[in-house]
Amino acid sequence: MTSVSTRSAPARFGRGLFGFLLPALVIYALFVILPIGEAFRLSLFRWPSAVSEPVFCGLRNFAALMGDAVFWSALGHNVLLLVLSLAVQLPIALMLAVFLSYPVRGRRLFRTVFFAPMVMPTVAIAVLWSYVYLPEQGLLDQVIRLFDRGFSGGAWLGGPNTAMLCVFATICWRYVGFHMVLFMAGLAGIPEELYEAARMDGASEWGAFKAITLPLLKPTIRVSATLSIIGSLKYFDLVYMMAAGAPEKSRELMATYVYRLGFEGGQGRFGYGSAAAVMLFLVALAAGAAVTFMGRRTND
Amino acid sequence: MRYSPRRSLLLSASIVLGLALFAPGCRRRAPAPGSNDAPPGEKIRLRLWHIMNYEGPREVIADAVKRFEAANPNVLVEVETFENDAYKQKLSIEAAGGELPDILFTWGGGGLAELARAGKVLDLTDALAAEGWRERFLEAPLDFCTVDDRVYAVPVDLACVPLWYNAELFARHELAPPRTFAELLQLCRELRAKNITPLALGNMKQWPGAFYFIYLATRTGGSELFFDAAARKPGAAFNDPAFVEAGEKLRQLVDANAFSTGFNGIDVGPARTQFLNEQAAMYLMGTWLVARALEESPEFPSKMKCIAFPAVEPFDRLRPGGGKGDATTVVGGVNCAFAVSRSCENSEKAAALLRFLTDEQVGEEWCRIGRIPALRVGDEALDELPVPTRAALDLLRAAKTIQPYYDQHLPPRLAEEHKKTTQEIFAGTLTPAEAADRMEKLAKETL
Repeated sequence: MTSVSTRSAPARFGRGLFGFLLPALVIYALFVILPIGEAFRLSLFRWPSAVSEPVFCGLRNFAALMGDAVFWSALGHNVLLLVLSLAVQLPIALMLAVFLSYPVRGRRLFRTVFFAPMVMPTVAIAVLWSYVYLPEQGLLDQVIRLFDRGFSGGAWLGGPNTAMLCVFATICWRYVGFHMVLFMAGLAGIPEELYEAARMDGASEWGAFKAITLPLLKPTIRVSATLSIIGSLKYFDLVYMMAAGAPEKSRELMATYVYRLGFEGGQGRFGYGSAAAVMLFLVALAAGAAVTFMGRRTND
Repeated sequence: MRYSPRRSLLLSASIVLGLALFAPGCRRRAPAPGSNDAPPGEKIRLRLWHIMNYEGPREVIADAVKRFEAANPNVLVEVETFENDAYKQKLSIEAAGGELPDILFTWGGGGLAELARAGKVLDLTDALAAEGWRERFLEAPLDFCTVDDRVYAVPVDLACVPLWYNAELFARHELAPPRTFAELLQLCRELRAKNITPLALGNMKQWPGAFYFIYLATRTGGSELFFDAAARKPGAAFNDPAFVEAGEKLRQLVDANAFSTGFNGIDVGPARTQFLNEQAAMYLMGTWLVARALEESPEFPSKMKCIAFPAVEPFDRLRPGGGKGDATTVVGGVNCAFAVSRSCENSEKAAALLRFLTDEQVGEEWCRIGRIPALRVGDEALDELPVPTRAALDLLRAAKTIQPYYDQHLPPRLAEEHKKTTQEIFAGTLTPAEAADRMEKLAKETL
């Protein structure tokens, strides 16, 4: 292709391309940009009760939010989720991907098994795992009892210190297959000759992994990490369904807290909930900007 | 295919327009019932929302609606059913800004009071006075639907929470049902020693555990204290020593390991299974349990017996001059009532439908499906009730007062606070005194 044709192409198709963008843009504006603006507006009001007329209260919702221990605990849990996703979930996924890149027996089977949780409905996963964590009769307690006969059962999903970690294990189980597939795609793109050359030079498997696999997998790792960061900031479903029984300060993520404030039990704290949603938006925006910035710098 | 920008633009535009039709805010509006622009012969439409979406009550309601439609051929009733929690959310959203249905399901109590005071539901007092309609109802459930001396809903279902126990298991181990809290505590220790869970509890949704707090509070300080605190009468508060004492007693049960292991992480289903599988000896649960037990383990209800929640020892030392709780009081409430939305344009037809929903036949059918009606029915009808339900009804009749569930009597926000703080007492993350102070603080702000 000559340089002339590449430059004139956008000009020729400009209006047409805009036409293709338009549907997505309209939907995006309608369902994302507009609601964000609406949340900002609502966060300035206070509903004395769910059915009463809203009263303007300025920034008082935000002031209250700053002193709300549950909100901070929710933010803390999001950070915990983010750190654990990066520090636990991605290494496991990478390990599995590398393992499956060797010609092991039953490779296809393993790949399917690890990926299977991704295609299961979330509600089914929540129910399934709440039986794993069921005190006394659950799978987990029965396994523990194999080693410790006197074990009387743990609180797991109801425990102040255990609830989030238990749910995280489930989240990890669910998404590890997804990241594994990403890594496998990345690994497939690394030329086999590099490994052959390394072997000729007498490099160990671990040395080859450090010197070849990791550096060349960097773009994929970056994609995986970005998806994990975004995912853990907006995470909702499994935590909402599984950790509901834990005390308030041990069960909320920002998204579940926003939802509960607005809707749970007909409380109708729409203004306060919107303020929390705005905070969630700002945190996500900051994280998104940081990720983009770091991505740019490493690309250069 | 040849590329034509114009055609693609047209195509995109039509897709956008098509999608916009489904967007919220552009809500399709049904023609107003009975309005002038309705074509002649168009039926009046009444929308009815309820949550009795399971076999039994669903059919009874559908049947009453059918009889109403047969008597009023120009009216079409559109019934929509919801799941319990989803309905609460839907109702608060629609009440805040959307469209309430013409006839809506309610539990009475604080939720109904909020709707009534915001002018969202119609006052039915005068309609009830006509043709002896009011006399069809039992007084207690009607009280649950009364706000500031006006009636805003008609009750159909009445439920209460007795302490169920497995009589066969008790006999096998030569145990007697507990009469006092001290006996209950002792019994729990004995059962644990025998490796039996004393009290089945699945507290994930928070309301099952709240029953214990409500009972301990009403046995300790009396129901009046709760009503007065909720009405903000001077001298009554949610951090009264009686509420703190109730929390302390709850802790004693937790410390005696009386409940299912890990109760806060279990939902009601697995807890019920523990009781029905005889892994647990007792279960504090509403009368609706009987229908579920009949369904899941048809033989089990023959072993089910019930008692009133144990009495709490005199409490005068902390509340001099204050009344101590009466031991016959039963926790209970209305589990199905119907109100008419103020936006309803055919309120007379709606009231007529309510009469069908609360007529004699519904009362009798309600017994037949094993639930306690809030309507007056003959003794023959009551004999249709399953034996355990009948026993619970006797407790209800012997009760001097019905103590409402806190989360139905209090406005929603305070109700949530009550459930959350009680759960934290269970979890040990709040002391009873801290929980009581949090309740009182929010009560001061919202009531």
